[in-house]
Amino acid sequence: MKFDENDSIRYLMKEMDPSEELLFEKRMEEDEDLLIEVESLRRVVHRLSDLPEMDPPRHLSRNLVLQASAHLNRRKRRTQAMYLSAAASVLVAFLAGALLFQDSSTTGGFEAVEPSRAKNALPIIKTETQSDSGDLAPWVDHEQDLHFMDRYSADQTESYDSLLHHSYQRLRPVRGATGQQQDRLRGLHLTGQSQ
Amino acid sequence: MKLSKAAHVPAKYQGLKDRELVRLYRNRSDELAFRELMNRHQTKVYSYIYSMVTNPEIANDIFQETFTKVITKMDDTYNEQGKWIAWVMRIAHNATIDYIRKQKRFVDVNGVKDADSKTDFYDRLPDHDQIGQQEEMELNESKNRLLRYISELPEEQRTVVMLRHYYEMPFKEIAELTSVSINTALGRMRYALINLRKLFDQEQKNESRTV
Repeated sequence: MKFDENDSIRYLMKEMDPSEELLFEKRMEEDEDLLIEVESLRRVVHRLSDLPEMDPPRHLSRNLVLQASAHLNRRKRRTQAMYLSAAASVLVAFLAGALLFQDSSTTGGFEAVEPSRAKNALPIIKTETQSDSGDLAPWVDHEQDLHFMDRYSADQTESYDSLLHHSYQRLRPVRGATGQQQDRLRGLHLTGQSQ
Repeated sequence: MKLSKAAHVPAKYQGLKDRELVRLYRNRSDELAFRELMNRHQTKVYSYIYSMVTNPEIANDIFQETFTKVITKMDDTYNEQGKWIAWVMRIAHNATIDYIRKQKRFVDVNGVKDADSKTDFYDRLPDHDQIGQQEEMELNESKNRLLRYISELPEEQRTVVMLRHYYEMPFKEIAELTSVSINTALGRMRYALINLRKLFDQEQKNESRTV
Protein backbone atom coordinates (compact mmCIF):
# COMPACT_ATOMS: atom_id res chain seq x y z
CA MET A 1 0.00 0.00 0.00
CA LYS A 2 1.29 3.45 -0.91
CA PHE A 3 1.48 6.23 1.67
CA ASP A 4 1.72 9.91 0.98
CA GLU A 5 3.01 12.72 3.17
CA ASN A 6 -0.49 13.65 4.39
CA ASP A 7 -0.96 10.20 5.92
CA SER A 8 0.88 11.28 9.05
CA ILE A 9 -1.85 13.92 9.51
CA ARG A 10 -4.63 11.45 8.80
CA TYR A 11 -3.04 9.12 11.33
CA LEU A 12 -2.67 11.79 14.01
CA MET A 13 -6.14 13.16 13.44
CA LYS A 14 -7.64 9.68 13.51
CA GLU A 15 -9.01 9.89 10.02
CA MET A 16 -7.71 6.47 8.97
CA ASP A 17 -9.75 3.31 9.05
CA PRO A 18 -8.38 0.58 11.39
CA SER A 19 -6.68 -1.41 8.64
CA GLU A 20 -4.90 1.71 7.30
CA GLU A 21 -3.86 2.58 10.83
CA LEU A 22 -2.27 -0.84 11.37
CA LEU A 23 -0.37 -0.63 8.11
CA PHE A 24 0.83 2.89 8.94
CA GLU A 25 2.07 1.81 12.38
CA LYS A 26 3.90 -1.10 10.80
CA ARG A 27 5.54 1.33 8.40
CA MET A 28 6.57 3.61 11.29
CA GLU A 29 8.29 0.65 12.94
CA GLU A 30 10.31 0.16 9.81
CA ASP A 31 10.99 3.83 9.03
CA GLU A 32 12.59 5.72 11.92
CA ASP A 33 12.41 9.10 10.17
CA LEU A 34 8.69 8.71 9.74
CA LEU A 35 8.33 7.80 13.40
CA ILE A 36 10.27 10.92 14.45
CA GLU A 37 8.22 13.08 12.10
CA VAL A 38 4.93 11.74 13.43
CA GLU A 39 5.96 12.03 17.08
CA SER A 40 7.14 15.61 16.68
CA LEU A 41 3.87 16.55 14.98
CA ARG A 42 1.98 14.76 17.74
CA ARG A 43 3.66 17.05 20.30
CA VAL A 44 2.53 20.09 18.34
CA VAL A 45 -1.02 18.75 18.15
CA HIS A 46 -0.92 18.08 21.87
CA ARG A 47 0.11 21.64 22.54
CA LEU A 48 -2.78 22.92 20.48
CA SER A 49 -5.08 21.51 23.14
CA ASP A 50 -3.96 24.49 25.25
CA LEU A 51 -5.71 26.87 22.88
CA PRO A 52 -8.01 29.06 24.94
CA GLU A 53 -11.75 29.10 24.54
CA MET A 54 -13.37 32.50 24.76
CA ASP A 55 -16.95 33.45 25.41
CA PRO A 56 -18.28 36.48 23.60
CA PRO A 57 -19.01 39.49 25.84
CA ARG A 58 -22.25 39.03 27.73
CA HIS A 59 -23.93 42.13 26.29
CA LEU A 60 -23.28 40.82 22.80
CA SER A 61 -24.99 37.47 23.48
CA ARG A 62 -27.88 39.25 25.19
CA ASN A 63 -28.34 41.60 22.22
CA LEU A 64 -28.39 38.69 19.82
CA VAL A 65 -31.03 36.86 21.86
CA LEU A 66 -33.13 40.06 21.85
CA GLN A 67 -32.58 40.38 18.13
CA ALA A 68 -33.81 36.81 17.62
CA SER A 69 -36.85 37.56 19.76
CA ALA A 70 -37.65 40.71 17.75
CA HIS A 71 -37.25 38.74 14.55
CA LEU A 72 -39.73 36.13 15.82
CA ASN A 73 -42.23 38.86 16.70
CA ARG A 74 -41.92 40.43 13.26
CA ARG A 75 -42.42 37.02 11.69
CA LYS A 76 -45.52 36.40 13.86
CA ARG A 77 -47.03 39.73 12.82
CA ARG A 78 -46.32 39.02 9.16
CA THR A 79 -47.94 35.60 9.43
CA GLN A 80 -50.99 37.02 11.22
CA ALA A 81 -51.43 39.73 8.60
CA MET A 82 -51.16 37.11 5.89
CA TYR A 83 -53.82 34.91 7.53
CA LEU A 84 -56.12 37.90 8.08
CA SER A 85 -55.91 39.03 4.49
CA ALA A 86 -56.50 35.47 3.32
CA ALA A 87 -59.53 35.17 5.63
CA ALA A 88 -60.87 38.53 4.42
CA SER A 89 -60.49 37.46 0.79
CA VAL A 90 -62.34 34.21 1.50
CA LEU A 91 -65.12 36.09 3.29
CA VAL A 92 -65.52 38.62 0.47
CA ALA A 93 -65.56 35.83 -2.10
CA PHE A 94 -68.16 33.95 -0.02
CA LEU A 95 -70.40 37.01 0.34
CA ALA A 96 -70.15 37.84 -3.34
CA GLY A 97 -70.99 34.25 -4.20
CA ALA A 98 -73.94 34.25 -1.80
CA LEU A 99 -75.26 37.53 -3.22
CA LEU A 100 -75.03 36.24 -6.77
CA PHE A 101 -76.76 33.05 -5.74
CA GLN A 102 -79.58 34.90 -3.98
CA ASP A 103 -80.12 37.36 -6.82
CA SER A 104 -80.31 34.65 -9.42
CA SER A 105 -83.08 32.75 -7.60
CA THR A 106 -86.59 33.73 -8.77
CA THR A 107 -88.84 32.89 -5.81
CA GLY A 108 -91.28 35.65 -4.74
CA GLY A 109 -91.91 34.41 -1.18
CA PHE A 110 -90.42 35.49 2.09
CA GLU A 111 -87.33 33.28 2.14
CA ALA A 112 -84.75 33.67 4.80
CA VAL A 113 -81.51 35.28 3.75
CA GLU A 114 -78.18 35.05 5.56
CA PRO A 115 -78.11 37.28 8.63
CA SER A 116 -74.80 38.76 7.47
CA ARG A 117 -76.34 39.70 4.20
CA ALA A 118 -79.50 41.14 5.79
CA LYS A 119 -77.35 43.13 8.20
CA ASN A 120 -75.08 44.45 5.55
CA ALA A 121 -77.80 45.43 3.10
CA LEU A 122 -78.43 49.16 3.19
CA PRO A 123 -81.94 50.58 3.14
CA ILE A 124 -82.77 52.34 -0.06
CA ILE A 125 -84.46 55.66 0.63
CA LYS A 126 -85.74 57.38 -2.37
CA THR A 127 -87.26 60.85 -2.31
CA GLU A 128 -89.16 62.50 -5.07
CA THR A 129 -90.16 66.10 -5.74
CA GLN A 130 -93.27 65.03 -7.47
CA SER A 131 -95.58 62.18 -6.74
CA ASP A 132 -96.33 59.60 -9.36
CA SER A 133 -100.08 60.02 -8.83
CA GLY A 134 -101.38 63.49 -9.58
CA ASP A 135 -103.96 63.65 -6.76
CA LEU A 136 -101.39 63.47 -3.91
CA ALA A 137 -99.69 66.59 -2.56
CA PRO A 138 -96.03 66.45 -1.56
CA TRP A 139 -94.71 66.14 2.06
CA VAL A 140 -95.94 69.11 4.17
CA ASP A 141 -92.52 70.20 5.38
CA HIS A 142 -90.37 69.49 2.39
CA GLU A 143 -92.93 69.05 -0.25
CA GLN A 144 -91.73 65.51 -0.77
CA ASP A 145 -93.06 62.04 -0.53
CA LEU A 146 -91.06 59.41 1.28
CA HIS A 147 -90.26 56.12 -0.28
CA PHE A 148 -88.74 53.47 1.86
CA MET A 149 -87.53 50.18 0.54
CA ASP A 150 -85.36 47.58 2.22
CA ARG A 151 -84.28 44.01 1.95
CA TYR A 152 -85.60 41.82 4.70
CA SER A 153 -85.27 38.36 6.05
CA ALA A 154 -87.89 36.16 7.69
CA ASP A 155 -86.68 36.99 11.20
CA GLN A 156 -86.95 40.71 10.50
CA THR A 157 -90.64 40.63 9.59
CA GLU A 158 -91.73 41.61 13.08
CA SER A 159 -89.55 44.71 13.26
CA TYR A 160 -90.62 45.66 9.77
CA ASP A 161 -94.31 45.44 10.75
CA SER A 162 -93.60 47.50 13.85
CA LEU A 163 -91.98 50.17 11.67
CA LEU A 164 -95.07 50.22 9.45
CA HIS A 165 -97.35 50.57 12.48
CA HIS A 166 -95.41 53.54 13.85
CA SER A 167 -95.23 55.15 10.43
CA TYR A 168 -99.03 55.15 10.13
CA GLN A 169 -99.36 57.29 13.31
CA ARG A 170 -97.90 60.38 11.60
CA LEU A 171 -98.00 59.52 7.91
CA ARG A 172 -100.33 57.75 5.68
CA PRO A 173 -99.59 55.45 2.82
CA VAL A 174 -99.82 56.76 -0.69
CA ARG A 175 -102.67 55.04 -2.30
CA GLY A 176 -101.77 52.07 -4.43
CA ALA A 177 -98.06 52.33 -3.62
CA THR A 178 -97.65 50.85 -0.12
CA GLY A 179 -96.46 47.38 0.57
CA GLN A 180 -94.60 46.70 -2.64
CA GLN A 181 -93.14 43.25 -2.60
CA GLN A 182 -90.57 42.25 -5.10
CA ASP A 183 -88.16 39.40 -4.67
CA ARG A 184 -87.29 39.80 -0.96
CA LEU A 185 -87.78 43.59 -1.09
CA ARG A 186 -90.63 45.39 0.62
CA GLY A 187 -91.33 49.03 0.06
CA LEU A 188 -93.32 51.80 1.70
CA HIS A 189 -94.50 54.98 0.09
CA LEU A 190 -95.83 57.46 2.64
CA THR A 191 -97.01 61.02 2.75
CA GLY A 192 -97.85 63.45 5.57
CA GLN A 193 -100.85 64.94 3.72
CA SER A 194 -104.23 64.30 5.37
CA GLN A 195 -106.29 64.12 2.17
CA MET B 1 -10.54 33.24 29.47
CA LYS B 2 -14.26 32.93 30.01
CA LEU B 3 -15.94 36.27 29.68
CA SER B 4 -19.56 35.54 30.44
CA LYS B 5 -21.89 32.89 31.69
CA ALA B 6 -24.48 31.24 29.53
CA ALA B 7 -28.04 32.56 29.55
CA HIS B 8 -30.39 30.41 31.59
CA VAL B 9 -32.43 27.90 29.63
CA PRO B 10 -34.73 25.24 31.15
CA ALA B 11 -33.15 21.80 31.49
CA LYS B 12 -35.46 20.14 28.98
CA TYR B 13 -33.81 22.07 26.15
CA GLN B 14 -30.38 20.81 27.10
CA GLY B 15 -31.32 17.26 26.18
CA LEU B 16 -32.47 18.21 22.69
CA LYS B 17 -30.34 17.86 19.59
CA ASP B 18 -29.42 20.92 17.53
CA ARG B 19 -31.81 19.85 14.80
CA GLU B 20 -34.72 19.65 17.25
CA LEU B 21 -33.87 23.06 18.68
CA VAL B 22 -33.75 24.57 15.21
CA ARG B 23 -37.19 23.09 14.46
CA LEU B 24 -38.60 24.54 17.67
CA TYR B 25 -37.25 27.95 16.78
CA ARG B 26 -38.39 27.85 13.18
CA ASN B 27 -41.77 26.18 13.53
CA ARG B 28 -42.90 27.21 16.99
CA SER B 29 -41.03 30.49 17.31
CA ASP B 30 -39.43 29.18 20.50
CA GLU B 31 -36.98 31.82 21.66
CA LEU B 32 -35.50 29.53 24.34
CA ALA B 33 -34.48 27.05 21.67
CA PHE B 34 -32.37 29.76 20.07
CA ARG B 35 -30.86 30.64 23.44
CA GLU B 36 -29.85 27.03 23.95
CA LEU B 37 -28.25 26.91 20.51
CA MET B 38 -26.33 30.06 21.38
CA ASN B 39 -25.25 28.66 24.73
CA ARG B 40 -23.97 25.52 23.09
CA HIS B 41 -21.98 27.02 20.28
CA GLN B 42 -21.21 30.68 20.92
CA THR B 43 -17.90 29.99 22.69
CA LYS B 44 -16.51 27.91 19.86
CA VAL B 45 -17.73 30.28 17.17
CA TYR B 46 -16.31 33.26 19.04
CA SER B 47 -13.02 31.47 19.78
CA TYR B 48 -12.65 30.58 16.12
CA ILE B 49 -13.27 34.16 15.03
CA TYR B 50 -11.02 35.58 17.73
CA SER B 51 -8.17 33.20 16.93
CA MET B 52 -8.39 34.27 13.29
CA VAL B 53 -8.43 38.03 13.83
CA THR B 54 -6.82 38.32 17.31
CA ASN B 55 -8.60 41.54 18.06
CA PRO B 56 -11.52 41.57 20.52
CA GLU B 57 -13.39 44.46 18.90
CA ILE B 58 -13.16 43.02 15.42
CA ALA B 59 -14.04 39.57 16.78
CA ASN B 60 -17.14 41.10 18.41
CA ASP B 61 -18.18 42.73 15.13
CA ILE B 62 -17.73 39.56 13.12
CA PHE B 63 -19.51 37.49 15.78
CA GLN B 64 -22.46 39.88 15.73
CA GLU B 65 -22.55 39.92 11.95
CA THR B 66 -22.47 36.12 11.91
CA PHE B 67 -25.38 35.64 14.30
CA THR B 68 -27.42 38.45 12.75
CA LYS B 69 -27.18 36.54 9.47
CA VAL B 70 -28.03 33.31 11.30
CA ILE B 71 -31.19 34.89 12.77
CA THR B 72 -32.41 36.38 9.52
CA LYS B 73 -31.43 33.51 7.21
CA MET B 74 -32.43 30.58 9.39
CA ASP B 75 -36.03 30.69 8.11
CA ASP B 76 -35.18 30.23 4.47
CA THR B 77 -31.51 29.58 3.74
CA TYR B 78 -30.68 26.87 6.29
CA ASN B 79 -31.41 23.40 5.00
CA GLU B 80 -32.26 21.07 7.87
CA GLN B 81 -30.50 18.18 6.17
CA GLY B 82 -27.11 19.59 7.10
CA LYS B 83 -25.66 20.21 10.54
CA TRP B 84 -26.77 23.55 11.90
CA ILE B 85 -23.38 24.33 13.38
CA ALA B 86 -21.60 23.58 10.11
CA TRP B 87 -23.91 26.12 8.46
CA VAL B 88 -23.18 28.68 11.20
CA MET B 89 -19.45 28.01 10.90
CA ARG B 90 -19.64 28.59 7.16
CA ILE B 91 -21.17 32.02 7.82
CA ALA B 92 -18.59 32.79 10.52
CA HIS B 93 -15.75 31.58 8.32
CA ASN B 94 -16.90 33.64 5.31
CA ALA B 95 -17.32 36.77 7.43
CA THR B 96 -13.86 36.26 8.97
CA ILE B 97 -12.15 35.60 5.65
CA ASP B 98 -13.89 38.63 4.12
CA TYR B 99 -12.47 40.78 6.89
CA ILE B 100 -8.96 39.31 6.60
CA ARG B 101 -8.94 39.76 2.84
CA LYS B 102 -10.07 43.35 3.15
CA GLN B 103 -7.22 43.95 5.56
CA LYS B 104 -4.78 42.28 3.20
CA ARG B 105 -5.56 44.90 0.59
CA PHE B 106 -3.82 47.39 2.85
CA VAL B 107 -1.06 45.30 4.39
CA ASP B 108 0.12 42.10 2.77
CA VAL B 109 1.19 39.75 5.54
CA ASN B 110 1.98 36.45 3.88
CA GLY B 111 3.47 33.52 5.67
CA VAL B 112 4.68 30.27 4.27
CA LYS B 113 2.37 28.98 1.60
CA ASP B 114 2.18 25.24 1.38
CA ALA B 115 4.50 23.18 -0.80
CA ASP B 116 4.75 25.67 -3.63
CA SER B 117 6.04 28.45 -1.44
CA LYS B 118 9.62 29.51 -2.09
CA THR B 119 10.52 31.53 0.97
CA ASP B 120 11.23 30.07 4.36
CA PHE B 121 8.84 30.56 7.23
CA TYR B 122 11.72 31.64 9.52
CA ASP B 123 12.41 34.62 7.27
CA ARG B 124 9.06 36.08 8.12
CA LEU B 125 9.07 35.54 11.85
CA PRO B 126 8.82 38.71 13.90
CA ASP B 127 11.97 39.71 15.70
CA HIS B 128 11.07 38.91 19.29
CA ASP B 129 13.92 41.06 20.56
CA GLN B 130 12.13 44.05 19.13
CA ILE B 131 8.91 43.32 20.95
CA GLY B 132 8.70 45.56 23.96
CA GLN B 133 9.21 44.08 27.39
CA GLN B 134 5.79 45.26 28.44
CA GLU B 135 4.17 43.44 25.57
CA GLU B 136 6.24 40.36 26.28
CA MET B 137 4.97 40.40 29.85
CA GLU B 138 1.40 40.67 28.67
CA LEU B 139 1.85 37.75 26.34
CA ASN B 140 3.62 35.76 28.99
CA GLU B 141 0.96 33.19 29.40
CA SER B 142 1.48 30.11 27.35
CA LYS B 143 -2.03 30.22 25.94
CA ASN B 144 -1.67 33.72 24.65
CA ARG B 145 1.67 32.85 23.16
CA LEU B 146 0.13 29.92 21.40
CA LEU B 147 -2.61 32.13 20.07
CA ARG B 148 -0.03 34.59 18.83
CA TYR B 149 1.89 31.86 17.04
CA ILE B 150 -1.25 30.72 15.38
CA SER B 151 -2.05 34.24 14.29
CA GLU B 152 1.30 34.23 12.50
CA LEU B 153 0.32 31.29 10.34
CA PRO B 154 -0.93 31.97 6.82
CA GLU B 155 -4.67 32.41 6.75
CA GLU B 156 -5.38 29.12 4.92
CA GLN B 157 -3.36 27.08 7.42
CA ARG B 158 -4.80 28.92 10.41
CA THR B 159 -8.32 28.26 9.17
CA VAL B 160 -7.75 24.50 8.96
CA VAL B 161 -6.13 24.35 12.41
CA MET B 162 -8.93 26.33 14.02
CA LEU B 163 -11.79 24.50 12.35
CA ARG B 164 -10.22 21.22 13.35
CA HIS B 165 -9.44 22.33 16.88
CA TYR B 166 -12.65 24.09 17.83
CA TYR B 167 -15.06 21.90 15.91
CA GLU B 168 -13.18 18.65 15.44
CA MET B 169 -14.44 19.08 11.91
CA PRO B 170 -13.61 16.16 9.61
CA PHE B 171 -11.23 17.11 6.81
CA LYS B 172 -13.95 16.34 4.31
CA GLU B 173 -16.09 19.11 5.81
CA ILE B 174 -13.12 21.48 6.13
CA ALA B 175 -12.39 20.86 2.46
CA GLU B 176 -16.00 21.64 1.53
CA LEU B 177 -16.10 24.74 3.68
CA THR B 178 -12.88 26.15 2.27
CA SER B 179 -13.62 24.97 -1.29
CA VAL B 180 -10.49 22.83 -1.69
CA SER B 181 -9.79 19.11 -2.02
CA ILE B 182 -9.33 16.90 1.04
CA ASN B 183 -5.67 16.46 0.16
CA THR B 184 -5.16 20.23 0.08
CA ALA B 185 -6.87 20.57 3.46
CA LEU B 186 -4.66 17.80 4.90
CA GLY B 187 -1.61 19.43 3.34
CA ARG B 188 -2.48 22.78 4.90
CA MET B 189 -2.79 21.12 8.28
CA ARG B 190 0.59 19.46 7.82
CA TYR B 191 2.29 22.71 6.90
CA ALA B 192 0.58 24.48 9.78
CA LEU B 193 1.94 21.91 12.23
CA ILE B 194 5.41 22.11 10.69
CA ASN B 195 5.35 25.90 10.96
CA LEU B 196 4.15 25.76 14.55
CA ARG B 197 6.88 23.25 15.34
CA LYS B 198 9.44 25.73 14.03
CA LEU B 199 7.91 28.45 16.19
CA PHE B 200 8.01 26.26 19.28
CA ASP B 201 11.65 25.39 18.54
CA GLN B 202 12.44 29.06 18.18
CA GLU B 203 10.68 29.74 21.45
CA GLN B 204 12.74 27.06 23.17
CA LYS B 205 15.96 28.50 21.77
CA ASN B 206 15.01 31.97 23.02
CA GLU B 207 14.20 30.63 26.46
CA SER B 208 17.47 28.70 26.71
CA ARG B 209 19.36 31.84 25.56
CA THR B 210 17.79 33.95 28.31
CA VAL B 211 18.59 31.25 30.93
